[in-house]
Amino acid sequence: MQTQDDDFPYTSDDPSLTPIEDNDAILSLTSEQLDDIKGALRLVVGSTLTGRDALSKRVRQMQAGQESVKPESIIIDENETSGDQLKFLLLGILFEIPDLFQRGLVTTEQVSIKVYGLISKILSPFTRSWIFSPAKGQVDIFTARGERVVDYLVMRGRIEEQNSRLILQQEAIDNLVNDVVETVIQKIDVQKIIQEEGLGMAGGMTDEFREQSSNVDSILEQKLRSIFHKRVPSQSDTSPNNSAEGG
Amino acid sequence: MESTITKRIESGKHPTLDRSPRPAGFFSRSEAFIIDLVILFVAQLVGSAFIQAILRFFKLTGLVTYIKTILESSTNQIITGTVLLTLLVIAYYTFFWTLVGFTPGKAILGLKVVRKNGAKLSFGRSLLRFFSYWISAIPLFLGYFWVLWDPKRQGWHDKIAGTQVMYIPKNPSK
Repeated sequence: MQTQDDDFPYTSDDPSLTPIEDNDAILSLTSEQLDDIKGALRLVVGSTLTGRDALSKRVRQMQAGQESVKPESIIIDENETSGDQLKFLLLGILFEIPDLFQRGLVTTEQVSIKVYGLISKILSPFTRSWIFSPAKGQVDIFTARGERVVDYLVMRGRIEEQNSRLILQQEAIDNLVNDVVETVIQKIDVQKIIQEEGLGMAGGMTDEFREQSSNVDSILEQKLRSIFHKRVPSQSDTSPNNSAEGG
Repeated sequence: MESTITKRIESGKHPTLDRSPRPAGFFSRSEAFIIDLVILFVAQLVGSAFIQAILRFFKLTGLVTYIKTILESSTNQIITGTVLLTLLVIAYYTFFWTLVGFTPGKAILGLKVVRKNGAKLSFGRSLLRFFSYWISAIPLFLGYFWVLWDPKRQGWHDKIAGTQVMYIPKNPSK
């Protein structure tokens, strides 16, 4: 028969609470696979945390410069329909939910503490009596173990949060450094490369794109000139080599 | 079967592939301008991410906090950000105009900024052209639309700086 101790993967004597290896597991994962899973989890958690931080920061910045509208400054439209009122009702509920949720959490916490205190008080004559004394030691052990496990999980969460953030930063930095090094090594002769790239763009799809654009140029000007009855400029008007140098 | 481009090249109708350089029109120039704006926007995002990554890598995030403390008010921070962004834009345009005569946006459209004698722009002239952009923009961008009317297809900024935007001829050396 399995006891509760057997089900629980941590030894009570080990301060580091190392998980017990399950040698009988049918579906076992290699340490590399486990690392991959943890790495992927860290990436997901890191992205989420970094994204959330950036979003929160941005939202706070936006809200910092904004003044809240006061109720006395609201002018109610006389022609406000029931549809409008329904819309405002829904908006009101939507914006009230976070406050309600927050208040609910606080209330729940306070009630839980009070209930726990009350039950402890009611049960104290029994828990302190000699009848309960044989089981008291076992309960204390379980309680201590529970606290240790919770502490361990909280600490694990803290560590993994930092790991997740670090892995994301590391990834981004690695990519950036690689890109920069690659660019610097491969494109030392910037001027030559840019010139060649610029002229080289005359091939393929860009030709079609340029042609279309220049056609639109001509059409636009023709339309405009037909409106204002202006003459179409000749090649000699427009060539830079045929013009005097400007200042 | 011959493509339309090949036919146009042979007939000499394609302005960008034509041997003789011709001034570029309003639409091509506008497209190039928009592409440059997009490139600048992306460059700004990538640049700031890169700086942040460097600062984090060397654990210098405190430096940013310190600078923010020095700048104190958000107004000062906005002014500093605007100045830095303006410097980036100036550097982008003057660098490309002086070095090769075209920005990446203009390169995509096959355009080149040259002096009236066909020479490349000096740094001073590039700066003058850049600041003349603002003069063209003040009267409801009339200086830009001037390209549509002008027989030489010059905007006000071109006239002030003595420049022209030309279609890049295909393989001009040949």
